[in-house]
Amino acid sequence: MNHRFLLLSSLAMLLLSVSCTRSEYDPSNRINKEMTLFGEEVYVPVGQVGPVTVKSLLSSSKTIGDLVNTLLKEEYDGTFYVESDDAIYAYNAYRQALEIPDSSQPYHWDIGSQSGSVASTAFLLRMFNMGFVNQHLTLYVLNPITESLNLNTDIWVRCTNSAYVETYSKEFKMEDYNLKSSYSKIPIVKLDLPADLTDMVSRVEFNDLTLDLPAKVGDKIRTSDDAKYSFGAQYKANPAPTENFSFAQAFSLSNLNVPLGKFKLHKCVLSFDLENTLPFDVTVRSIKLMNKKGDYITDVVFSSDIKIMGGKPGAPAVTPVELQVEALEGTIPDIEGVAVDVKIAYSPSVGVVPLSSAMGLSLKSASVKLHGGITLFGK
Amino acid sequence: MKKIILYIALFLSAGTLLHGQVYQQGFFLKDYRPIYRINPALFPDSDFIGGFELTRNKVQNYGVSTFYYPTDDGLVSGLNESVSADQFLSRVPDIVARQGEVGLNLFSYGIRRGNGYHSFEIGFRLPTIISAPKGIFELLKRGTVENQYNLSDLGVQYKAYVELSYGYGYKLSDIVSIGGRAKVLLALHGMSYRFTKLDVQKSDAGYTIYSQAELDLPSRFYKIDGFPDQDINLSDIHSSYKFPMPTGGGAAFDLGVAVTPNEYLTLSASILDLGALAMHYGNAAVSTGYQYFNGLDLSYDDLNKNGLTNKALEIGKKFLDGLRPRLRYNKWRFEPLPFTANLGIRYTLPNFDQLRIGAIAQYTNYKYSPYWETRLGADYTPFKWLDLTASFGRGTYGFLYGFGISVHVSRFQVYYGLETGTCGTQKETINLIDPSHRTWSIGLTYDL
Repeated sequence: MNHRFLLLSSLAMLLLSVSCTRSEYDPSNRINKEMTLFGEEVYVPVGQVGPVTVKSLLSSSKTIGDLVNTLLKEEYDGTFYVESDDAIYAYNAYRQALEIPDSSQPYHWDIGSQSGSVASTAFLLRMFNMGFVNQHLTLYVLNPITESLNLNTDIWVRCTNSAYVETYSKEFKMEDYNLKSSYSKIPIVKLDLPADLTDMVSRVEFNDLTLDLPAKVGDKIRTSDDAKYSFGAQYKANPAPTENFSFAQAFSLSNLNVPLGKFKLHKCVLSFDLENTLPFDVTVRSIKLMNKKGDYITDVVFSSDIKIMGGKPGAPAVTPVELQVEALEGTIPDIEGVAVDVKIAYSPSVGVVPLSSAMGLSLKSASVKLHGGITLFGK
Repeated sequence: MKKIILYIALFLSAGTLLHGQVYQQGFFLKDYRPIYRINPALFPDSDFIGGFELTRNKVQNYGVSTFYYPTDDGLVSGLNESVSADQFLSRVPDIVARQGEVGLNLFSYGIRRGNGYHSFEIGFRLPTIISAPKGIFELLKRGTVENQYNLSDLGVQYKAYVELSYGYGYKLSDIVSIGGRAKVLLALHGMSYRFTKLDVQKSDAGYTIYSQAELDLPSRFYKIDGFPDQDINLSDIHSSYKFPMPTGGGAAFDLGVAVTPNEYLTLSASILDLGALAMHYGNAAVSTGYQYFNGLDLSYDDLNKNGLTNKALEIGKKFLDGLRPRLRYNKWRFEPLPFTANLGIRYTLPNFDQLRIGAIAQYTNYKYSPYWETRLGADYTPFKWLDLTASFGRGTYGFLYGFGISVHVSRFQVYYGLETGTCGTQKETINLIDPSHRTWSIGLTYDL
């Protein structure tokens, strides 16, 4: 009896031991697969990002690219310029010949004073307080007849600032200026405006304008449907931010659909040296995130008043930037949009530098530090 | 009195849930024929042959409980936010390692001649090691808060070899016996890929990684094509279709002494597997060098989802290319075997010879997690054909227990045993819950 008892006891214990499990570790119970990696901090070097140049931005957005291309042209080195060819005065040659009382005699044509504005596209840019450097102005005349003409006039070239106050003027006296016969425009004035002048040429005046026409001028008009006496101005200049250049702009990006919520991020610090060759200072006054409803996510704050110094090609400005994104409570949710308020202003340390498509920003030694971990397989 | 002792022994056994330890269990078992494996100075009374004894041994210094935590929210991993870094990392050993061995004893023969006992065995052994440094888990849990990480000893290894042994035990007197076993080892096959060095240094500029990884493929079954110092791809590894001749060899020795002051008491001391295995790594490869990760370096065109993915893949490929092994021929590796030291004492109750009690201590210097244990055991023979043994004790990983059973039918003896800690296993899985040493063995012998 004892033996049997002992045997059975032993076998029972053997079976118990074989089936030894601990219910709290039973995998058939619920397993919470959520895990948070790098819980304290993770450092990810990003290295260099960019450069993001004006050219690359323009090529990435057809709308903006087309808009800018209608206003600006590019030199071979990427420097933007505005160019215009504006007529100051034009008169049909046949009509003028008919108006001469005695066409068999030479005629002193007193046109009087004519004036006009130039650089029509540049005016648009001046609305943004943009200045102009390397301004070249060519005044020309189109002689529609087959003989030379004598030109007399008193020309004034005037520049005004954005408040329409004259800041520069120059007079050119033309006395018995011989206008040779030519199919093309005959430049009568070539003017390189002073290097330190950034106010654009706003007006050209031809005062006391006279032309000495030969006898029988009607027979000497060059055969053309559009034969006319034409006075005009060709203008070329490089736009450049100047002292008054400044504007603030708030813009927003929507439909970003960045599903950050599931990662339960707490705080992110982006550090980089921002190398800037754009010739103006930029202040990021605020960055705000938006949720799906379009409301601002007030629980997540960014560093504000980030100042980025202006630079220029060959002498970029390097600004160390630390951009901090932090959830005050909880974690950073899904992001649908971002609203950025920036102020862009002339950079006194850089001076006046023409804009170029090669200018831009690049990040050097960029890195990301995440604090609080990245949650995966969350609910 | 006999009954009291009997019940005390059984109570102690019950406390262990009747588990046992196979090699040690043999020390307690009344008629464990190949007891010379525990101590070559110990040998059975009868001649026998045996075969196809299978032993599986596993030492792992981690378990499910190392990485998972029961909470009200269910079972969570140590990487869950609810588990603190200190709590998690305090459970993770410096090198997380699982070392195991499958041993198949194909043939055993023991014969007594006078005061001596000869034993011959042919067996097959397949030791494996999988290891991962704690630094990896620290990185995953805490992130890169430190500037330097040592991730060395990440790897996986196995080797297969045949063991031919001859043992001889001799009774110097009625009290003292000595014995020894000599083993010839013939290496058949192996594979090892491990980072002998993997240092990660963080700075503001990024990460500098110094790695030294070794791939060894000592085998006649495979051949790696190529030239010395040439990067190898998986496609370079071909079957050689040659008859599997040994790719290395070695020797090991067991030494033991047993003292029997009287017919009831036995004292045992032995040291096992003193030796080494040298394998010819004709297919050896190594990669070493510095790698730098200073950032993704994104151009404007990369600033989109595909661009970022491609850049990340490019850097990952570059990193893996840096780790790619390069051929190196004619290399021998000499590796000592993990030796085991045993001390034991057993006592047969003079007035109740169905019951034996004893104690045994063991130390094995496994590469990543040296293991020790001490245990008390009892053996009970309720019937002539049945032998039961149980033990309990403490080891590297805490409380442990074991059981063994031996059944005699005619001249045949079948034995089975299991030794383990209180780790338990997850229900419906074979995952050990706690760090543990676990061995089970099953065998068949025939008395001549």
